Amino acid sequence: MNKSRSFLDTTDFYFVICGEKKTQNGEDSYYMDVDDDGAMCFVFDGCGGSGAKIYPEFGRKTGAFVASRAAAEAAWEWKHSLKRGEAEGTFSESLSSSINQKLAVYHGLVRSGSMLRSSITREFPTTLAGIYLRPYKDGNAELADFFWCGDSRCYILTEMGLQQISLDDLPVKDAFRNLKEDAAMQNVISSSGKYVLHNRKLRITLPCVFFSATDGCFGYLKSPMAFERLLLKTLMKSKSIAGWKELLFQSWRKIAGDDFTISMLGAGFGSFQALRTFFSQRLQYLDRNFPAREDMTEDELQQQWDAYRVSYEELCTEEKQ
Amino acid sequence: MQADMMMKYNVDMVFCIDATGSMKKVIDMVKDNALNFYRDVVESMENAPDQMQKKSINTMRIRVVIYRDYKADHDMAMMTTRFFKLPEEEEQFRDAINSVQAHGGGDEPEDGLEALAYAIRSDWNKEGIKKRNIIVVWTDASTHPIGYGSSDPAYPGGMPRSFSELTEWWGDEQMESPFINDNAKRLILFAPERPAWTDIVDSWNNVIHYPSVAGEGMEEFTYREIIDAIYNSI
Repeated sequence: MNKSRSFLDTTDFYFVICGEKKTQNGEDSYYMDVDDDGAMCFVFDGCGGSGAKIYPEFGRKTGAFVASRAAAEAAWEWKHSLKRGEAEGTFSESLSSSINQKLAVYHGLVRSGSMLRSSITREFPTTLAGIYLRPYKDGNAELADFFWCGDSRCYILTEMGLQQISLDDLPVKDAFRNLKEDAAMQNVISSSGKYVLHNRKLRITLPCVFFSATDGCFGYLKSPMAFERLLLKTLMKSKSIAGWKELLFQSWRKIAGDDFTISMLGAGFGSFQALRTFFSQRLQYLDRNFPAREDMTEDELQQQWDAYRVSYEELCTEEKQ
Repeated sequence: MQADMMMKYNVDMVFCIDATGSMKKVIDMVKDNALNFYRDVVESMENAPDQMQKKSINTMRIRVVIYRDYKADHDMAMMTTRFFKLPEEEEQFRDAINSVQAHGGGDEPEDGLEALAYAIRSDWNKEGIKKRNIIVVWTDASTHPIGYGSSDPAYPGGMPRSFSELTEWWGDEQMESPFINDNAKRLILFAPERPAWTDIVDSWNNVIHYPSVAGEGMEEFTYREIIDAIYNSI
């Protein structure tokens, strides 16, 4: 009798990087959990503009701070309800339900009103980007459910390069334009419960690096090409996963104008050396076809993006579960 | 890595100050608030406490709109400055704020909507990639309907003919403003809960209203909430 493989059999590495703009007041959060059955790679970005209200009930933290942590707790509870077979409905329905219940608890503890009237503010707003991975039969692939709400993103990094799976809840879906426009999000988790949690299921052939990331990771670079280059250049400079993680952290620390959080898992490579070898050709391709120069004009960058986006956006569509 | 890095904000602010007689009691507070306000926005965007990179500011400009009541104050009803580039022209900006004297105004409503129209129609910086166009109003009064003072010879041409038209000037996600960028704009009202300020907060996007006499009695964390809502994305 065949015993289905452990998820850990193909898992090479996993880590979270979380950097705060203001120490102990970071509005990002995460939930990462890896075991024999699968993995959860979730990040949350409490929305600092619309969730700027300060709550004396929660140690004078902002609604954004509380919301991202509450949603992370809810994702943890959702995972355990899945394990117990108690989650009802589709994944996005049961995960939304878990988040709504958790935010309702926090909302119920609020005693203070706000003096402000505003068309900007929301109660406990946060984004979510998450990946639920588990083994796909016994083959060399993983079954991946991608979840997102807001402008945090789910990605995969394979021999095809960087591919965005989620679709930003912004007026424009173009990842390059969104770096420049700073537009208001059209859909974000909040205690009102009025949001859509997107979900997409894909079978992903290994080897692959899966990750979810808040906008601090990609939003302060000039282009999506620059984001892939940052990931690969830091990998090539590293001698270990720990070294890569440290280099990524230091890079974002210099670049990001916001909190940054990434939850990453690599599978199917076999070793760190194999991971580096696998992506070294891709980096050469990137440098050859999409070189970065200080004096690059907007038009040149746009031309690069037009060519790069063909592969980058290939999986970036919205589907119902 | 430098060639891949981003990107600085161009921040423009327009301060609209009601300088009618009823503001006498609070005008010094408003002047202090106006002078501090830009510093606090800059500090929030520039000075993260732990060396983390920040939303760096490329250019910062402020202009001042002093308003009263056309029917009562005629050619003293609206005084506007050009944009001052900061920090280079901080002295001129300070002089403009410090020169404000509270007087006139006639009846209780004032011509705050005309001041808003001037502010919206400002010569906003269109250069650069990321922008904030911020309008701040300090007043203790409601507003006349727009055009109320239009019979006065000092009343300017080119004003909106109705509140609906002024709303179109502000724009929204569906209907782009001809004057101000929808992603960049923020309107902060330190104003009483009276018409038309309440209409504005109910129907315009990207507005924050602190219902009060010109921002009196504001607690520190409410102020912090306003500053954070301005500089963070929404």
